[in-house]
Amino acid sequence: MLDGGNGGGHGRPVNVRILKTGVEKLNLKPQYIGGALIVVLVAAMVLTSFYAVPQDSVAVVQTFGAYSRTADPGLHLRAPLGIERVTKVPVERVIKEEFGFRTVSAGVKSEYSTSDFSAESLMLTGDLNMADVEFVVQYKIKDPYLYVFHVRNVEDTFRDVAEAVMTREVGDRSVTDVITEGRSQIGINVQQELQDMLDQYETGVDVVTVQLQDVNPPGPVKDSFNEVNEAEQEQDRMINEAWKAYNTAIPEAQGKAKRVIAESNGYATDRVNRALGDATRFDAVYLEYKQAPDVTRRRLYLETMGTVMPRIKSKVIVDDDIENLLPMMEIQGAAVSKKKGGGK
Amino acid sequence: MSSTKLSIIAVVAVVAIIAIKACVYTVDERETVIITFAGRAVSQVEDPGLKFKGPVMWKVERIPKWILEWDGYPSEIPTLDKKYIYVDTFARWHVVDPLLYFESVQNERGAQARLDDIIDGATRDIVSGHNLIEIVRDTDSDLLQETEGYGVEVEQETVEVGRRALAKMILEKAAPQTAEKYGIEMLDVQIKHITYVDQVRQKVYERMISERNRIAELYRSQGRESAEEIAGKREQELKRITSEAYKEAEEIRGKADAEATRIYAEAYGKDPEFYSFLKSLDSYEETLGKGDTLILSTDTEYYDYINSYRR
Repeated sequence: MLDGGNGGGHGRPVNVRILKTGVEKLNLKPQYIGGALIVVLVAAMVLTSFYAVPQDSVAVVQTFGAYSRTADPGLHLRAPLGIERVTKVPVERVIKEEFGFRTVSAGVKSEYSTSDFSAESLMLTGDLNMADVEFVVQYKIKDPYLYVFHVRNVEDTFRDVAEAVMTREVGDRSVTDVITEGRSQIGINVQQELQDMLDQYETGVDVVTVQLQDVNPPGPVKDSFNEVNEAEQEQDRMINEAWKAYNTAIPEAQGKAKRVIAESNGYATDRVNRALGDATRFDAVYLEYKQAPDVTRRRLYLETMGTVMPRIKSKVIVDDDIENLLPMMEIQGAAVSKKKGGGK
Repeated sequence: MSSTKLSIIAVVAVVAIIAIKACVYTVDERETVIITFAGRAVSQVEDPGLKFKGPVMWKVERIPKWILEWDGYPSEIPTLDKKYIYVDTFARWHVVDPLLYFESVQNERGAQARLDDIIDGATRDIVSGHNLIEIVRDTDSDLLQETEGYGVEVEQETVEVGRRALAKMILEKAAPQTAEKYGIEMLDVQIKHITYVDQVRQKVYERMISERNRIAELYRSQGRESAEEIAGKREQELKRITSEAYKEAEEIRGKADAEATRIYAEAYGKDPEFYSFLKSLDSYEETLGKGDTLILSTDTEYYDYINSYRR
C-alpha cells in the first residue's frame, strides 16, 4: 500500500549505464555527454512528475516528508525526483480481517486454509468453559491522513484490538449464551467497543461489520453438546407422544360418554312411552269397564280362563268337602302308570 | 564549449551534489529528528519538511512520532486461585521525550526490549494477584444458563474487578516506569487472549462434558416428568368424562322412571282394584303354561256352574 513513487531513484542509474556503454561503443565525443545527461535528467523528471490514483483510493502527498495535500482519483502532477512522495490509500475499499480461519481464495466455492488458527478463536467464556469463535471484521479507511500518519501498522493494531474486544465480550457470557442466542448481540457489542477503541487511538478507520461465523464448542466436547441437543429433542418427543396418547384417548372417551347418554335417553323415551301406552290402554279398558263393571269383570275373567285353561295339561278340580287331597293325587298317578302298562 | 570547460562543470556539479546531500535532510510527518554531533544530541527538529544541517559530523537520528505497537508473547501465569493460564497482551505507545528516548534506548529495538520486561512484569504481578474469574470476566452481570427455568441453581462467582479494570491496573503499573526512564508514554495495555495451559484445558473439557451430560439427563428426566404428568392428566380427564356421562345417564334414566311411575300411578290410581284384577289376569295368561298342574277348588268362580245341580 505504501507506494514510494520514487521512479527517478532507480531510473537514472540504469540510463547512465546504458549511456556509458553507448559512449564506449560509439566512441562519442565528451561534448555529447553533457547533452545526454540533460536529456536523461529531463526524461526522469517527466516520468516522475505524473502519478495515477485509482478510482477506489485517494493519495496522500508529502513534500520533503511534510504532508501537503490529499489527491482525488485521476492523473495528477507532482514535484519530481522524490521531492513529493505519494501514498495511495484505498478509502472506498472494504477491508476484511478474518479470525480463526483464512480464506485462501474467495469465490462460489471459497477455499479455506487448512492451518489451525484456534489460537485466535478458542476463548474462555464467563463460566470458565471454552468456545471456538470464528469471526470476520470489515472496515474502511475514513481518514487517510490519520491512517497514514498517526498509527503505524493500522492492520496489526486493528487485529489486536478486535481480538481483545471479542475475547472480553465472550469472556463475559456463558458458553451456552455464546453458542446460541448471544451471537448477534456479541457482534453488535464488539463493533461498538472496537470502534470506540479505534477512535481513541485515532487510527482513521471505520468498522463496517463484525460478523460471527462458526461458533462452536471446542472439538473434544462437541459430542456432549450434541447430546444435549438430542436430549432436548427426546424431551420434546416424549411430551409429544404423551399428548398424542392424550389426544387419542380423550375424544374416544367423549364419544363413549355421548353414547352412554344417548342410550339413557333411548331408555327414557322407551320407558315413558311404554308407561303412556300402558296407561292409555288401561284408561281405554277402564272407560268401558265403568259402563258395566260386573259384566265386564266376569267377561274378562272368563276370557282369560278360556285362554289359559286349554294350555294346562293337568288340571285337578277339588271339591271343598274333600278332606284329604293326597289320596286323590295318588289315584291319578296310578291311573297314569296303568295307562302306561296297558300300552305294553 | 571546450572539453576542459565541460569537465570543470561536471566536477563542480558532482561536488555540489555531494555537499548538498551532506547538508540537507528531510523530516517526515511521522518522525522527530535529533541531530547529533560526534554522537551527542545537539538539536531536535519536530516539524516536517526540508531541513539543513552541518555536514558529515552532524548526523540525523530519526525517532518515531506516531503510535507504535508492542505485542507480547503469551506468558504462563498462575492466578491467585492457582489456575495456570497463558496471558497474551498488547500495548500501544509513543515517544513523548525524543531526547530521553534516544539517550536511554537508542532505537526501537531497545525500546521494545525494555517494554517486554516492564509490561510482562506488570502483567504477571496483576494477574497473579487476582482470581481467574476477574481476568476472564468484565462485569458481574448474570450469565445465561442453559438450565434456566428448570429450577436448577447454578453458582456464579462474583466479579469484583473485571478484565477492563485489570488491564488498566497493568497500564498504571507499567506507564510510570516507561515515562520516567525512557520518554515513552504507554497509551494502552490490553489483554488480547487468555487460554488455559494444556493440562488445565483437558480438565476443563472433562468438566464441560460432565456438565453437558448432566444437562442432557435433566432434559430427559424433564421429558419423562412431563410425559407422566400428561398421562395423569389423561387418566383424570378420562375418569371425569366417563363418570360425568354415567351421572347424566342415570339422571336421565331416573327421571324417565319417575315419569313412568307417575304416569302409571295417575292411570291406575283411578281404580286400583280393577288394575290389580287386570294385572292378575295378564299374569295368569303369561305364567300358566303347558307343564303346569293347576289344582282348582270347585269353590272357584270358574267352576260355579259345575256344582250348580247340587244347589
